[in-house]
Amino acid sequence: MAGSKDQARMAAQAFTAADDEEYWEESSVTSSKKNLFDDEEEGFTVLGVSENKAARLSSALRSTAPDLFADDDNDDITWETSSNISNSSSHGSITSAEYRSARYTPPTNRSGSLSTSSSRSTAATVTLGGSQDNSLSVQFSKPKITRSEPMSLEDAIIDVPAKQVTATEVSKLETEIQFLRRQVQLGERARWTSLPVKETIKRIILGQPYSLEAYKSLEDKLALLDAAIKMHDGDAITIAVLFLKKTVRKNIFQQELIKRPVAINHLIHFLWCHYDLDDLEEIYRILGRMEDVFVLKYKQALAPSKAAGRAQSIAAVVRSFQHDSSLAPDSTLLLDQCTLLQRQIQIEEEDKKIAASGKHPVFREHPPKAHLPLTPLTTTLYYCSFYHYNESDSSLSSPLSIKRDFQISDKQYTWSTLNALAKLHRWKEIEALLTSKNWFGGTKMKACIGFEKVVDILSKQKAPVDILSKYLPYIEDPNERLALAAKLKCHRTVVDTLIQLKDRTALEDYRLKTPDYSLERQYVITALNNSQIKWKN
Amino acid sequence: MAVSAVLGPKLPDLQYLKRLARDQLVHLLESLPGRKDLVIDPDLMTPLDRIAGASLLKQHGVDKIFKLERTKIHGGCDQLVYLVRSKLTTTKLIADQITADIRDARKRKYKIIMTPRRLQVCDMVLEHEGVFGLVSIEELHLDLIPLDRDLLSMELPQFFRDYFLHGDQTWLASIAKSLVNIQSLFGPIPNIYGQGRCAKMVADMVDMMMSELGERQSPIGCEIGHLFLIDRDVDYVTPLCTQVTYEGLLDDIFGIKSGSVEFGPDVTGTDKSIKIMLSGEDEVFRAIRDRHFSNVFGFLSAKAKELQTSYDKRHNLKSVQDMKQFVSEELSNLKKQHKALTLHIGACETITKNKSRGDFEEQMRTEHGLLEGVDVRECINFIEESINRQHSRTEVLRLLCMLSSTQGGLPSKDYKSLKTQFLQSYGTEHLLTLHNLKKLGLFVEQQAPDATANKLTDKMAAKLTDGMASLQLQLQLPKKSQFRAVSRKLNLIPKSAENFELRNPNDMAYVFSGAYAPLSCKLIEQVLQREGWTGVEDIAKLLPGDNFVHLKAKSAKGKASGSNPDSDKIVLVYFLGGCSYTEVSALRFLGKQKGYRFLVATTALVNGGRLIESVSGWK
Repeated sequence: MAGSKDQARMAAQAFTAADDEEYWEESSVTSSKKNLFDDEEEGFTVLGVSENKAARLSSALRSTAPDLFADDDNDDITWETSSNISNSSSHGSITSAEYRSARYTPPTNRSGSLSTSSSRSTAATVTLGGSQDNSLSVQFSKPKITRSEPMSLEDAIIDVPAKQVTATEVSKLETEIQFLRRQVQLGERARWTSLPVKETIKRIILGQPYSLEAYKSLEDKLALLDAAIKMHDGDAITIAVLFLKKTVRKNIFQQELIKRPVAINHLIHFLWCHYDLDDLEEIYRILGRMEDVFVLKYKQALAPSKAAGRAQSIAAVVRSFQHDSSLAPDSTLLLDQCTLLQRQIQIEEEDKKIAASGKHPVFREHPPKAHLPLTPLTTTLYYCSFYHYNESDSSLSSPLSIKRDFQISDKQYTWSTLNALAKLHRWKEIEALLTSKNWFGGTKMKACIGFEKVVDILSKQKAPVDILSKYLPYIEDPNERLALAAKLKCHRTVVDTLIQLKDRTALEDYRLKTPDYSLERQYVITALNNSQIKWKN
Repeated sequence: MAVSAVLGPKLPDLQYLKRLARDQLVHLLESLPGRKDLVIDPDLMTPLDRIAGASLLKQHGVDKIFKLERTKIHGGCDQLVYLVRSKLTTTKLIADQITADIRDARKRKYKIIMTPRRLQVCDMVLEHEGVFGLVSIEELHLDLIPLDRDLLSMELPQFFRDYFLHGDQTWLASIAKSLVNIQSLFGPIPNIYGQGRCAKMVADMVDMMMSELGERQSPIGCEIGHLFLIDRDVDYVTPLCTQVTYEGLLDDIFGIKSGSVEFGPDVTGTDKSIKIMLSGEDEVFRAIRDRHFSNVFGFLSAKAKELQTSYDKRHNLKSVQDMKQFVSEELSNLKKQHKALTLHIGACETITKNKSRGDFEEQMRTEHGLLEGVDVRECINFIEESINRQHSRTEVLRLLCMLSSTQGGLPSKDYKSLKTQFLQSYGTEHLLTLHNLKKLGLFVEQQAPDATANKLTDKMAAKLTDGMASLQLQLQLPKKSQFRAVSRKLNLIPKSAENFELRNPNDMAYVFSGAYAPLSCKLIEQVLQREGWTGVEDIAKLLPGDNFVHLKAKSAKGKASGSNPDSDKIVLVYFLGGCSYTEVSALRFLGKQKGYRFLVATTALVNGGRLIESVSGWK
């Protein structure tokens, strides 16, 4: 008891601490649609919840009861792997007798239509006009089952008071028996004469025995298929299509199939699942669905797991579709993929030699972790920017030659190279990358991805403040620039931006945030004393 | 038991479905006497947990449990029971294992239990592989699994791919069967509404199956008044949006599997993970699940204080008697709540951390821009940047699909550029995925007049048969700005966007921070209100597939003896192809607003990520 008292006291403390936060009382939800996520000063807030506060409360709660999760009772299924088998204790089938008495009839064995029909009749007498459907017999017992107690089906059934059988019910049962007798006879005959197609499809849907042998004429076969389509069951449609396929000549089959799109879908799906890819291709070709043929062939071409083999098989696909103009755009993509694969193989071979020689500093400090072949183009571009940035653009592994040969967008190129160079802390090269020359030989800073992103990448790679300060002033939106500069403690940019915004009050506030007697403090004071600036406040 | 605070009409008890399935499973196991090993389809692992635990299986003679894999099963006893989804590929796998046993001269008895139904094509595969004579095949009618008091799921995520991508209708009968089961338990549903091609087919099949069962001798009262069937392709936009309700976020970030979620060490604050069942029975969770995330934390902290006060009571206990009462009655309940609270606060913490990383804010701005149709160029730039930076592939695809679905396809130039850049960043292999998304109409190019050339043959073929419906499927390519038009007509974008009330919402759009109300749920609201499609024809016209309605005459409805008087207020909504937790929340909200109680049934619970992943063509 003493222990839990302590716990409670701790909890109490934790909660009083929490009380100090006004947060608990006040609604933090000021959610206007555009501004869901108020950026609070002391931490990030998502959807109105502050991270710090969540953490605090959560740890407070945890500390109050460390054993909170100890008493979990698990009834999960544990899996045995097929290789390692420990013999677990067997409980045997002690309860088998109990469950034998369950009232519903066991699902009937499909040995033939006769036995099914007869078992059906016995079930019917018990459940009053029931069928093979198990759920029906349960209806009677339902009111007895109480909400809270998980009673088994069988318990509930025993409790049902015996039902009084009235004369009308007896006569009803008799009619039922008559009906079922007729059904049995019908079933016997049905074995040898063809049932109406609709009945056969119904039997397939309801999981009753059926036979298709009797449908010999083409009309019957087609009627069967159409009935299946009309009754919507995919299983029946597939069975009917495959029956047609098996029993008539190929060209008749194809001719009839083309008229029935739903049947086509089912056949195609069956062939996919069954890996009958040659048949599948043929069907697509007959239907003129060349794009599907193309995709199928491409999928098959991707089977080789080695880059060289894959490049070869993809090249074969491209060759076989070179005359199909409607597929030209996708063929081009595949051709690029081949070229890339071959190039990756070559680059990797070269790089292995370079790495082995141990001369290249980057390879020494950052040996490649994964294989280059089979990676996407963007990844390859990053790789080449990382290891081969300064190579001339005639080299296969130069990022510039890759940009040119694969028509990579400027933005993509900037993202990949900038990331690679920042990771290597190569600030000079970054500056060169972002400097563009104009016609008159002058230079200008330019970043197609926006300087806020540039600063973001650099700051994530822990670039020094003076490097960041180079790019911060180029951020167009002054408010965004201000926020970012303040976060990264680039004081000069903050001051310049506040001057641009003519916000004297903010600048005066900011003065206190700069270190005493620093250059930045001096800079602020100079600005504040500048009479030329027309402050807005 | 504070649970009995019933909100409006009482819901039928869905636990019957679970009991039925469990008893049938037990029966099937007992029908093979003696010890046996069980091989389970990986797809069924989590759903089965909802029905039967390991101890129940062991009680009924199951010795070892294996996962169905490509590898051979060594050891084990001489009886093997396979419990699998009825699929061709799975059946082939089983046939291969049996063949391997034969080669090893190993004698075993085999039983295959197929769920939700035995398929003739699977029989055919077994016949084809020459093992048909060695197995006995049974079916387990495990269709709708109750995940909560108002939530049912078939847990059949592949339905989306099979039907909407491949046009395969095999699962339809099982969906229809699940509705027949519901009606035989809770009485016939008098009013049925539907939107979509699949919805219509399912309704037809239900009719066929019901008439096959024959007239009922003793009609039981009806407990559910309305059924709404809706195809997923009616509204792709909603599940593609990032979720911001608490339960939606749990699903997006931790992944909810068959109603339970696993919290890792970062949430539990210990070194182990905890798996908990998310349900309305948990008082704390019930209070927060449907809330906008910004409105969750305040509640949890207030609750924490309240809990503390209750704990403190024990200092004022005067007598041993009082003490005894406190320990026996209140303490365990307090501990339970304490545990729940700790976990939910931990989860909030992880969610907050997760969303404060990166450019979540910009992403939300992009999504809202797309929904509203403003600053689309900026949205495209953001997506392009995500591609350039190789952000999560699924996330990027989700945004691309959202872009295309809200804008009615992309102009040729944008489509080509985004496609090329996407393949450059993630690998050309994903052409296969893009092909699938194009087929689904999720990521498409706006149609140039002559671009339909190779569709023509199919279209002509379709005309030749009665396949009017399939003709529609071909023509389903979104027209320009279809979403925009529907959105305007259904008022999906709230006008008073500023100062949207998220704490005590009076608009369904709160589920998406006041930026958008789910199309699917708004459509349901309109149709229920009008008891049919009259008055909303111009909206329905813009949606894929046909709509229909079957209403039972009012007088007949009143006469049904033993009917629950509340039944008219109970609405079962069945999503064909999946629904998101946000949609469930939106419907609960609609229920509170209009006095309905909604039961939600679905083929699977989806979110944007899972929807996209399920149709990917390359891993």
